[in-house]
Amino acid sequence: MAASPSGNAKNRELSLPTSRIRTIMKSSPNVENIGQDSLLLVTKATELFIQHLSRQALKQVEGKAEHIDYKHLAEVVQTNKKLDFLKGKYLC
Amino acid sequence: MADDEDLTLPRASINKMIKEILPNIRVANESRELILNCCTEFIHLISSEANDICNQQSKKTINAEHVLQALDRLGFGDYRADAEAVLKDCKAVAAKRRMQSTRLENLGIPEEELLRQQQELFAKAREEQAAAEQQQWAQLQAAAQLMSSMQQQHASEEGDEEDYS
Repeated sequence: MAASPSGNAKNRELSLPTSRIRTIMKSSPNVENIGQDSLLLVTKATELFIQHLSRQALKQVEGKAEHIDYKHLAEVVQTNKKLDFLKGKYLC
Repeated sequence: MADDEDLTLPRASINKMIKEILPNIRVANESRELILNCCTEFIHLISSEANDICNQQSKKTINAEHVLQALDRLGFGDYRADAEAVLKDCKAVAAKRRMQSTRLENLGIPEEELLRQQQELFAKAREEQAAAEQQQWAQLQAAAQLMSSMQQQHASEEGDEEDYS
């Protein structure tokens, strides 16, 4: 299987378990019925999110450190406007 | 039963994905844990937004369009293309499976005709099997004959060997 994350075949398979994602979605207040299509979209979006966070974290350490620490991710959240929703949840 | 907070994605899946993006970098456990929790928050974020959109449209079930709009609204519009591609692919796979399972029913051939075709196929298979067996038998006979003639030749040669002991 191709190691490149941007390869076409790899992009079209899902790595995360949709059943677990459905459970998490349903634990959101007020969410009731979730169509199968939406579930697939949210699953893929979450995968892209993980990739996004990882790549951003890599940028934080490039040329500076050999490993990614908690603080690098904290910095990613601080500097990315669309990650504002994460502030105050798990980060000081 | 797990609390809401404990409801996270499997660590193994997350670790695998991180490894694919960052194969040569060590990622501290706390960082992985953080990414794990951020995912849960992300899912809640998208779900809530999609749910709001769904309600605004007076629909009962969150559909694909609601999710896509939610992504746009929350600044994750760049995820649209890949997400839609996956959806398209999954639908294609599912449709193909459905088509394969109902193909016989949809052919429009009446049952008696199907039965007749089946009998024909069986008869043909029996013929082919018989022909194959006959050929095999002929080959065995030929091989047996060859063996026995070789043995005879060997036996006549044996007589000469005794002079060499």
